[in-house]
Amino acid sequence: MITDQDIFLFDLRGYLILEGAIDPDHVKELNSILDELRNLKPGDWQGYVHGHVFQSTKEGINLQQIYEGGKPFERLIDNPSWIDHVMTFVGGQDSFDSHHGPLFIDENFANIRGPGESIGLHSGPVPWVKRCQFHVHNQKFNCGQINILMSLTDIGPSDGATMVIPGSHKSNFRHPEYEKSVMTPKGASMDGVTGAIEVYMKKGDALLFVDSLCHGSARRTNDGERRSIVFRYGPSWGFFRHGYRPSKELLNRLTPKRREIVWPHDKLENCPY
Amino acid sequence: MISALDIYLFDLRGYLILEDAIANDHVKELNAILDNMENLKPGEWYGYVQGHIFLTAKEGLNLQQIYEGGEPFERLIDNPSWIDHVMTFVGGQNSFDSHHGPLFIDENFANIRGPGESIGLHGSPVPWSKRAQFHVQNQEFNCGQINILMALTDIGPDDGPTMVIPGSHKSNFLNPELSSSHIKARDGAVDGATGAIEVHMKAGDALLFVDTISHGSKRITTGKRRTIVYRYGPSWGFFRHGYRPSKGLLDRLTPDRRKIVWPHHKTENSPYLI
Repeated sequence: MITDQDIFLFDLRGYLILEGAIDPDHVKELNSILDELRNLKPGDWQGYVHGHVFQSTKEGINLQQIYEGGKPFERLIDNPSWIDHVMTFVGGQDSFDSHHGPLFIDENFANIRGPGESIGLHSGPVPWVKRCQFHVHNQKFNCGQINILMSLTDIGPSDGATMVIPGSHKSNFRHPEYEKSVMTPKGASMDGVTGAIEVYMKKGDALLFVDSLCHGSARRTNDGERRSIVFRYGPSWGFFRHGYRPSKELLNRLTPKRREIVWPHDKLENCPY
Repeated sequence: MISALDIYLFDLRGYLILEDAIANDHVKELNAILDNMENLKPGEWYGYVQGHIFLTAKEGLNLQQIYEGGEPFERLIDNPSWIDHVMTFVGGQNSFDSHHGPLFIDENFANIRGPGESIGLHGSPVPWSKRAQFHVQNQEFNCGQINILMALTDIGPDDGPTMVIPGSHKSNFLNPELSSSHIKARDGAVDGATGAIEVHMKAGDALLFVDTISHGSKRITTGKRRTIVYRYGPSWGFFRHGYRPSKGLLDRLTPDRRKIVWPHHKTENSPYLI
């Protein structure tokens, strides 16, 4: 349930931490499945899950379309711990934006990172991006993309914590240190960026943030792995960031509410395509 | 080519008139094709063009996916008379918004209307819609949807001209005349709406407007009015209705047009069936 404090702090900082968002048993189920997927290489498929990197293998491995990974991942689609927050912050539930449904997940992946790995600084509202925008109009949120980053391991100092620059979702100017720490094919991290903080999380916590908030991660120095899942929610009329589609089997399994969020783009009946 | 005056007036009013945007011969070609389709009924297909109405047959007939209607319609996709304007006003060409390409056409249709027909007042930034939004940030436009409405017939006072409320794209308050009682009283037309003006056009002119401006049309008194509407937004958007471009169309298009019509390729070697 979203509170006035959640609204105030999200507007102020651009993010919220939702503690205990996924219960311990559910976290165990998710990790067991990831144990089977963790050796996927970029470009490989395991079922409908795709190995992927954004720019560099130093960011760890992404397992794209992770909601195809089994029922424990499907349960995350409309998890009660965050779905009301997401719908409130994406907004548009009373407008043409919800013409196809309440939301659309344009990207969903698990990320596994080890020692030495990290992701560099990225995003920010300069230049402005409609897809990532933070926006409030007449006291209602209308953000372009709300991300839920779920931690499946404890993430503390030296674990490669996600880093954000609080308040940067409202910046009018680009960060002067942007080019020094931005994501590149050679790898990068946000360590030392002025104004950035590390976000420590216990396994089962979720970090909610608007995508136009400047973000990235610290470089992991501890042994072991950092595991997280990211679901990115936007308005129902958006489409996939990458060239993915949900499988027929997934769509047949989903509850009607989850299906509305995963695939609000059915073709017209009796069309000749 | 977009001018400083175009930018100033679009920001001020929410629309622009682009005179002679389509050459006379091209208008004739488009009308000749529409002559073959004008008796299509809602729900029926003519190749990959579908007969359609929004809410009521009093709005006339829409011919959806009209860019499937032949090469003269394909030429409209990136018509030099407006494409620079559209790209400037949708914006995002230097950002993640153009990840898939410069633009996406989320709806395209011809509309044929006769005596007594019209479309009621709609569009407003209250409540806010990301899809329809007007937005400027750091002196750059970032609108959600820019519409190009092309006149294929002269549209004067008796021809059911499009009507707009200039400046309403920046409204902070809901227009009281967008209430259901007012809409019912005007019976599906914008005649008499406070603040609205008629936009008179010659065949070949194009009206460019941001979708969030309040708009609709006057009721036609005599004759037939023919228009085409292409709605442009960021490359990551998807179809308003459940359409897809046909394979035949995609094979025919130039690379630049193809990028606008279908920027959503599947990942190679992917196992999907849909």
